[in-house]
Amino acid sequence: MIETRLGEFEEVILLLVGILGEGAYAYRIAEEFKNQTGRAISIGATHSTLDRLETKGFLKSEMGSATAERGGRRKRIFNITALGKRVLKESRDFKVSLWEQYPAFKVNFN
Amino acid sequence: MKPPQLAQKILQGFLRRELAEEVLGDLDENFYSITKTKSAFRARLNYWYQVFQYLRPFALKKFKNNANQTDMLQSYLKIGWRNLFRDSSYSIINISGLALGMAVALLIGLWVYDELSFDTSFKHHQRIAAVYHHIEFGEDKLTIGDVSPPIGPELKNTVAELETVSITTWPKEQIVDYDNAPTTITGLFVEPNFADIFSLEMQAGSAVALKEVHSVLLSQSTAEKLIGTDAVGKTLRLNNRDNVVVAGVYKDFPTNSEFANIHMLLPLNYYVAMGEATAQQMTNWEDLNFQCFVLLNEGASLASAESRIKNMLSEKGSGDIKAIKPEGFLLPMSRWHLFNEYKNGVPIETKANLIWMLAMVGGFVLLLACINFMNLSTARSERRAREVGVRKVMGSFRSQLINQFLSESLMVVIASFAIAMLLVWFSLPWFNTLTDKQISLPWNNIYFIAASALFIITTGLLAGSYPAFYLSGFNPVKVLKGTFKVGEWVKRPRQVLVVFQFTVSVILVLCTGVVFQQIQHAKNRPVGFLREGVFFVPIHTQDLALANYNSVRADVLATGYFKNVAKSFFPITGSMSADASVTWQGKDPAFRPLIAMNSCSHDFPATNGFEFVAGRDFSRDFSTDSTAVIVNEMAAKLLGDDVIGKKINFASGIEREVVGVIKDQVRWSPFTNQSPHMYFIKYEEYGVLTFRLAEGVSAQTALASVKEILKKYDTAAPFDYKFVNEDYDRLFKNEERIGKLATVFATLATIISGIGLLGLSAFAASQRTKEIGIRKVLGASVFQIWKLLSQDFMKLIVLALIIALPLGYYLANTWLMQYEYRTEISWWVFGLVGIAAMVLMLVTVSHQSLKAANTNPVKTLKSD
Repeated sequence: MIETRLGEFEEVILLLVGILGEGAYAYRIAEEFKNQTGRAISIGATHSTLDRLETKGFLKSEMGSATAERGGRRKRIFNITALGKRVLKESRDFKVSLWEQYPAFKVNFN
Repeated sequence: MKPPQLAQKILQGFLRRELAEEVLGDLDENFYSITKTKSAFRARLNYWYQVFQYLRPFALKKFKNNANQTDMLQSYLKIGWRNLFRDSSYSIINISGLALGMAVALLIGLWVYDELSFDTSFKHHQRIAAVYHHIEFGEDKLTIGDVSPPIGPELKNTVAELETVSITTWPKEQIVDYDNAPTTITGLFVEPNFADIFSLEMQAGSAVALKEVHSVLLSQSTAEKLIGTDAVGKTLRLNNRDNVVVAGVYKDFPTNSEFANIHMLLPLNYYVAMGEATAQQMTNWEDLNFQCFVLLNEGASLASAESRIKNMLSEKGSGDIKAIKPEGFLLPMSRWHLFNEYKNGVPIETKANLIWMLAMVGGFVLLLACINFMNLSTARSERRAREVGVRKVMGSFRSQLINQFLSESLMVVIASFAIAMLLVWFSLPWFNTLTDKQISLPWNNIYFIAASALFIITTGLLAGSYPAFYLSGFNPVKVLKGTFKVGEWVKRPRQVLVVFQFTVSVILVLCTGVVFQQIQHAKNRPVGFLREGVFFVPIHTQDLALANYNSVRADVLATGYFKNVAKSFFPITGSMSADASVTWQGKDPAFRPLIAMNSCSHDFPATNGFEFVAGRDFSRDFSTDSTAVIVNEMAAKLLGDDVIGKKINFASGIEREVVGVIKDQVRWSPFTNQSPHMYFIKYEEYGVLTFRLAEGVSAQTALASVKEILKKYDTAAPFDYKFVNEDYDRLFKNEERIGKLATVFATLATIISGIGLLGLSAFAASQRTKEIGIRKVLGASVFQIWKLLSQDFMKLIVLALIIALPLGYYLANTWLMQYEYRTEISWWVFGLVGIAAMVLMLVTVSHQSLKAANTNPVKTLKSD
């Protein structure tokens, strides 16, 4: 059975894929992760997560264009699927609902 | 600039092919982007890092091949396992035989290793030697390790090859009293440099104390037993004479070393300080009562050192020493244990020979077991020809068949080895008692493990090679059609091996028989003194030595428990002193026979039940008997005619008169020629008290009363006694040990051969079931079939006997030759062994042949 829950790290990667749009491939995502969080992450780890997200059906991928600095090799571009988007949204809603029940922060929302 | 190629290669090596393009591209992009901001080195380093980060399950190639091979291995093991159980009787025979053989070989191997590694634990063992001398004593040339103390400083000063020289006494039991609990401990008096030569490992305190006088070093085990954990600084009372301080505790000498039973080291200075007599010994060149150990310089030659030592003693010594013509040499430590015996100046290698003999026996037993194993596995594998055919038809590769057979035989060998290890582990305590050793399994010895692994693999491959390589080459069509027959040439080596096996077993059994015959022969030798109901007590302390003997005697006899009591320098089962200096009237001055001496009190011959052939015993009724002598027959022969009344002049200047002649006695090893003996009266010397029980008195009562009486005269010494018969049996210890070992090994060898024969005969019978069935149908009797099946083996056994009997005779005779007092090998032993071998063979084989002969032929002919 395929695991359909979304981990915290997976969520971030999934969001990054969405942010990067057409330019979402393993290396770019790893770079973007570093830029956004200030934490370095290996391409292998990113790729592994992407692979997992694809197996879960949150992502789909296809081979893209080649560039010179890649030694003429093509890249694999990842796209969020509808299921992926839904899971992201659910995840956000769930957290917002949690935030709203948290008394210390409730005031701000009012 | 490019990404590191090696890293790329590695990545491609493990990365799934479909991921290669994108991943390599990503890594390249990453690499070039880093080079823009950072050094090339950093970029390369990062590339390597990224490569290793790809070692993740999702990215790895699937090694399909690999998985398949483990599957096959599992299948090999499973089939092998099933085969083991399908023919469980074969498997039991096979495994137990091999395990027995391995266990014997392991035990003997451990023993031989222990013997050969004797004395190698000392750090400088390659440079240590002891000073020995060949001396002429009477007509004999003896070799002794005894030296006089002044040779120590002399060697140190004049022989440049020596780094240090240490004089020590011989090991002697000392009475040590701590906390009013006296015990005896064997100790040596040594010079301080003894600690350096033998690299003494101090656990507490310091070996420097050997320079003091009243100090002592104890071995760790003794210190713990005697005092406890904190021994240093404690005071002991030595021989009820002096107080000495424990200055140090050293690690026990290893059990396989020369000093294994030395548990106390005392300074030689203390020995010197004991009295005027001992002080004078140190400068006396005549006093051959010490040992001398030397440490050669690094790289110094033993031979060149020896050339200076050769004449040292005879040059420095006086006339008495010159008369024995001492010829010095150095005995290197490597020879101390196995090569320290000489006869007429030539080394005799009895001990080393025994070890090689046993090592050979061990090797042969193992060989027998391996032969069995191979015979049985080849014999069995022929039954599997059909299996091979079917497998081949089903598409099995030849390599898979080879692997199948090899892994099966390896499995059996490993199982046997495990059982052998268990056997060894369980029998080691028994084996250690038998051989008087402390051997343990060297689990952590890398050579042991390597040798075991090598052995397992070699045996497994050898035994499995025949079915693996020969059977796997069969043409499946022939095999399955049933026209295939295994060639005659396969049987030939098997027959040779059976003959070889039985030859070895018969020889072993024969030699064992001869060993026991020899022991019995020596045991039956008339000893010439009483052995039952006599015991002796060594006199350890001055107190007892100086006590009035007559009052001790009176006290002992007053109990009524004793028939007699005597005092002597040596016990009747002990050694004797040897003297070549006595003279008598009419003796040729050039004739200097060596005569064994024992000084004693009047009562010694009567107490020990000497058998007189002429003259009379010592008697207190004759006052002249205080200078009387009793001689044995051999000595009487030397003295000539009219022995009784003959005057003999001793070296001390006393003239003594012969009053009696006794039968020759066994005072040395019962396996050697005895020597001329003289017993003479002398009360000043002391060694032991001998007690002869009165009839009907139990040993316990007698011992208790002696203990009580002696306590009066000697408060400090522990009571310690020996019965003459037990002490005499000690002389047979070595031979009895050989006998027991030989019995065990010969029995095992025979069992292993028997097991092999059983397996082979069962196989032979099963191969001929059809033939037997047809013969029976055609009217053959059970007896005829039994004969048919047995005669093949009978021929082999007869051949084995023809080889084994003369060879066994020759070997047993060679062994006997080392004894001066030896038995004649009787032919009935050979006949008995021959008949026994035949009977054993027939019983083994008949079991199978009768089973085959009694089977209903319908059953055997019904199948296919």
